[in-house]
Amino acid sequence: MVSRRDTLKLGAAAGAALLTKSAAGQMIPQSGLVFPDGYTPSWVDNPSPPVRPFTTPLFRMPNAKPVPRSALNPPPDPARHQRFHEFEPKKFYIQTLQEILWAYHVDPPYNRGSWSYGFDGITPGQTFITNYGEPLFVRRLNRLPPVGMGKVAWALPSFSIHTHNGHQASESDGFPADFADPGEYWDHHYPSFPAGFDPTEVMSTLWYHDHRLDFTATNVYAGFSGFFLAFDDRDSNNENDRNPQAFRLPSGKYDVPLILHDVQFDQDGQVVWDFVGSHPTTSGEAGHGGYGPNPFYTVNGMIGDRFTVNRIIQPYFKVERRKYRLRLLNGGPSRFYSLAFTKDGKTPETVYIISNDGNLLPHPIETKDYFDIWPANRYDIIVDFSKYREGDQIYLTNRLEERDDGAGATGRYLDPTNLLMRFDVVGGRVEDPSRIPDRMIERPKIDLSEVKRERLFVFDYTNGLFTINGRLMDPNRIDAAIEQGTAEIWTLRNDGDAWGHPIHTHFEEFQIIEVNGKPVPPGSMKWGRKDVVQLGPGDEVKFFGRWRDFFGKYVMHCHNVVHEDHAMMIRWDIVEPGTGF
Amino acid sequence: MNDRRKFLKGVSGAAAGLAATAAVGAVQQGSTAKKGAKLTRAKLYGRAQLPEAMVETMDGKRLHLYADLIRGKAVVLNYMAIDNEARFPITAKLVEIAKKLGPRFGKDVQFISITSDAVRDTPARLRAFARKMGVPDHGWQFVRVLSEEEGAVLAMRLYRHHRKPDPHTRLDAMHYGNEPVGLWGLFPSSIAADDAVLRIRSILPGGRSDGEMRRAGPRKLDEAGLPFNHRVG
Repeated sequence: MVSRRDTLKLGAAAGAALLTKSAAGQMIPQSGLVFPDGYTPSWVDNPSPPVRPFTTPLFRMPNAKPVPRSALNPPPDPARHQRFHEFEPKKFYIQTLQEILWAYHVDPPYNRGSWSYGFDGITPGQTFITNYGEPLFVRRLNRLPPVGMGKVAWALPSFSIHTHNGHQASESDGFPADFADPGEYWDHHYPSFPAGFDPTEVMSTLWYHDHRLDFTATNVYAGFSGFFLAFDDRDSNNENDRNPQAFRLPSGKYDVPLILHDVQFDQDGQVVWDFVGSHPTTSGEAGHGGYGPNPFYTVNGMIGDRFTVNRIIQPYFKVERRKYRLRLLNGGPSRFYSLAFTKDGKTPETVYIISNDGNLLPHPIETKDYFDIWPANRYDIIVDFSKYREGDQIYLTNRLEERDDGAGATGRYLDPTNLLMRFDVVGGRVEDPSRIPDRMIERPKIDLSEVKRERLFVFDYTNGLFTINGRLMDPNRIDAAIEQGTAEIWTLRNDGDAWGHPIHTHFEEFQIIEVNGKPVPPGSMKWGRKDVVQLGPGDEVKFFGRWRDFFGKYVMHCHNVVHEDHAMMIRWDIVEPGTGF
Repeated sequence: MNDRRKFLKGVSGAAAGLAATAAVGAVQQGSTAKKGAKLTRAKLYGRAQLPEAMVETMDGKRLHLYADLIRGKAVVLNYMAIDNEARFPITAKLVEIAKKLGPRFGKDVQFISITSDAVRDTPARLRAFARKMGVPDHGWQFVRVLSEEEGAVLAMRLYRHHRKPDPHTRLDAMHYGNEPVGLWGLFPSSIAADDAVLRIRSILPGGRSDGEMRRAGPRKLDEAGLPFNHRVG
């Protein structure tokens, strides 16, 4: 066990947000709780069936395949989308959302399949490979069985798919009230241009997931998540690119998206949705994983006891002796991780972090340390496997200790750690044309003269419900009307003393100015564009953001999606200049 | 405690034959173990995994909340207190929602309002209040839970957290669920009635997903529609 002193040291390295005040005013390391005292997650008494770890290969999601425009009937309707003709779609896609049988592992009972929500037969869904300057159009069909007809009983067969954190118009953003029910479809137009046409606003690793009012947590957990990657002439998806401006990051089969979800299963291998309770029901012949009979459901979060990567429990992945770009994403619903790549399950190997929340940093950060990743946080990491020998095994390792009662992080580090997946180094030396660039994307300039308003948002907990500024989400109420073309400074404050909140705001990236009154050190991990704030208990984070290019409704919310559903979210709008409030 | 034992004995007959029941063992440890142990003795029923509670309706009838009013139905459940309605008019909102649900109200979905002020809100007072508010005669029950302990277990299950129903609250949510399916959600009581109607409809059976697809949205930019979404119609 790492000592508390070490923890403090590591916590300081990982970010000031980890350090929070206890009630007594003493500084303690804290990554935030998911549950309060006194709850026992059901996996303590009824753990998911065991597996032999590292015996199932990693699932590599196929790329989404475009269809001809003529495959869309009726055709795309420009009258339904802002600035459609300025950003004429060049590629078209149809995605079918359906109930699927998904094998999380080769061992029984998992090999018989777990009823899940998926896209065209898979979860995570197909990876969208997109290029700036090549707008795309995605029609999503709801072919889920209507209520009462499906095998997944606890999720709602209705979706509103959000591309996190795409720069898209409100009507294509996956606003939570923009849902499509069984037998319905929704058209999404992705214009593929950087915010304000500013080249420093180019993003790289985005993802898509369900955002349905009241049922986001269940529906994402059931399987509605996938990757959406954006490239341009610098991050060009070509490690052999002859363009001198190109970064030549590892590409193609060496560019690997990895999404983490922790899941709980019953003895038949069916997924259990259980807000910490005991005794999940066996699914029986009907195939329902269903609720575990227990009064200890909470709105605090959902923690599973099986670690999955790309919806495979503890997979292995054969890697060549060269560099890889690994895109790590915490898909939630609620668990926090502190991750590193290790050989011995403990000691971090040297890796290069090149992006935070999907945005390439000004320069890569070489680290031999653990890094915190909260729900919806993303890091692109270059791992150079050429320094290992054939047969070496590297583990993606989590050291953040969950409390025995499942309430969240203890603030201590695990010994032994959780091993989430294994990289098996194979073969001899290979040619590796990819590079780790010295410089990548500068931060957009912060110009305080653009600031039109400053706002304060206080996150708290009242009577079993999660509030922002004392209120619950109402999609019919505009909590902030932001004038298009202006900048604002937002202060996010966590008045709760137990919970950590990963707070996400849609549409534009922001830049953190201060964490608990202290400026972000230049060159650190937070010295970049972000879209998820790690708001630990008692934390206060101030950021600068711009709002441009479109009008309409968007949201900010807690990305512990169980908190979001109960109902820690606000609606904010982009409005005409002069009409803000 | 004796009352509770008797009560549990009484419902055990009613519970027989339900698809899934379980006596939950006390597994809690630590400072809240006592509270936890008390609650873990509750039996939970059906896919919705709700506890049972004996209630008195506004007509003075004694019923089992789960077995008589929830089992086999789609319901909207809320807490209210008559003395709190002037400042927190949750019942007025529900009356509006019921009207907008049209013929589906009372047929496909029932409302159950549970008073959090069981001492003051007697059946006679609840009956008079319902009449005053224009609550429809069928499809909506106002009830008070007779046992404080059962009330606490119920509130905890619904809010999924230690929570006593607060008769002075200014912030609350309505629970909506489809009991036979096991599908439950919750929406803030402050949302628009049109919004609530859409959410309630979404948990009701019906519709097809295998025929010709209908456009849900987005609607045309210049097309009239609800202010809180981009759906068609």
